[in-house]
Amino acid sequence: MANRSIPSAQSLDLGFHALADATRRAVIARLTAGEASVAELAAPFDMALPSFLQHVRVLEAAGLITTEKRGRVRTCTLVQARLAELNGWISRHEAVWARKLDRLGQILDRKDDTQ
Amino acid sequence: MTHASMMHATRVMERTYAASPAGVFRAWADPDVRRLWGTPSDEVEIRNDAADFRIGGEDVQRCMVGGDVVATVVGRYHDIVADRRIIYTEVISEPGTLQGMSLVSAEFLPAGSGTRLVLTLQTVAVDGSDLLDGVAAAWTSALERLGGMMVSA
Repeated sequence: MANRSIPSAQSLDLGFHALADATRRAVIARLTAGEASVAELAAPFDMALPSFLQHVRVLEAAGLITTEKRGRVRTCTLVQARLAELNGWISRHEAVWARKLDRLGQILDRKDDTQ
Repeated sequence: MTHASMMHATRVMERTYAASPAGVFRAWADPDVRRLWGTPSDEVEIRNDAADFRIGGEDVQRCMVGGDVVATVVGRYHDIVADRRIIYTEVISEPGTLQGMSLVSAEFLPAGSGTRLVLTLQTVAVDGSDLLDGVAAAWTSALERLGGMMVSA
């Protein structure tokens, strides 16, 4: 995978967009039971394969699933929840820094008042 | 099932302060002032074991809850240009386990009589803590319940 430098707000937007569609939620629900091929995932839906692949791509772009081509079969896997947790750790760490910079501003303003 | 063992993110934060670049720089350089704004959270008690603001110098903060060390933050200064920029790394661990680290680049740019601070935070979070495993399990079951709800809806 290419260098990942996704700001967490953007990845949240992608995540919510990905989950805002019934087909994509059903794919996620199916993948909680284990990995599956694109053909298996597409079978329940009355949808042309290219349209279904669009849904797969949205889920992949949001980081919710990964896909891997094995021979002629593309297999989809739900990205482990620990990834969501790592993302959460980074978000909390970034929030700590945002608060520190705000507090720095308050302290600088207070110093200005007393000078 | 393959587990990804790390995640990377880059975040750029900008703030504009009325103080001059020299004034903002001093607030980073002075360990007493730095302690005032550099505390990770109001809820945890911080013990500063080292505060050595020079190239190669180390800042060590221990985050305490109820007398126990819950996390350690080790900062090291790699580049300091007075009133202009500071580059340092920050390594965060809970006892015995690395959680993640950041490359922190701070630029102090003149903005009128004040300062525009541009902070670039490049972070890697790593997998491997027992704590994470517990939280991850909770996430998995929540996601499964969500999936179930969505299918039956």
